[in-house]
Amino acid sequence: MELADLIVKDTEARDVRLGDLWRDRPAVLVFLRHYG
Amino acid sequence: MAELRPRADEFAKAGGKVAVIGNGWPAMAKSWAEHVGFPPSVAVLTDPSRKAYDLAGMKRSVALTLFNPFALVRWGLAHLHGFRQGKTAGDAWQQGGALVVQPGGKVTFRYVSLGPGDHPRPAALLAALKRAA
Repeated sequence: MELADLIVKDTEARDVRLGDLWRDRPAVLVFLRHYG
Repeated sequence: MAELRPRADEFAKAGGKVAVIGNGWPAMAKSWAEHVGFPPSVAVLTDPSRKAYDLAGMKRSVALTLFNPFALVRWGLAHLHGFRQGKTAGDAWQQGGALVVQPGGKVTFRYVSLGPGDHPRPAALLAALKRAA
């Protein structure tokens, strides 16, 4: 699977396809260790 | 990475989208996002499966978390500067990092964290974004 095709969740538990973040513009993805 | 918040507008002005991805449940992400106070331009997301971390090349390690002298030094410096870590919500052994991805999917910047407190500075991320735009 490609990173772009992965489905994650937003804060309302809605599906978000990662690739949509950089479809039209560059994206910065920051990966947290954890919340807190 | 809460230090991104005061500079969020700079990322938007540079023509990029910022997404912060954690690995807890959506309710954890929502609580954390409200606590940090990110503007609407920043997407706060979560991946409980941690597949995104694996695909992005991030590390998961007990040793990097617990037996890491560099992390202890960073924790001490952060403490001196007033940072206090809250209760852990998510996978405690997962390490973080960052990517900058161009339209089309090319990764032009990758930072793989090697322990607690090891993360790219916002200025480095902003510079990488400007190069990718």
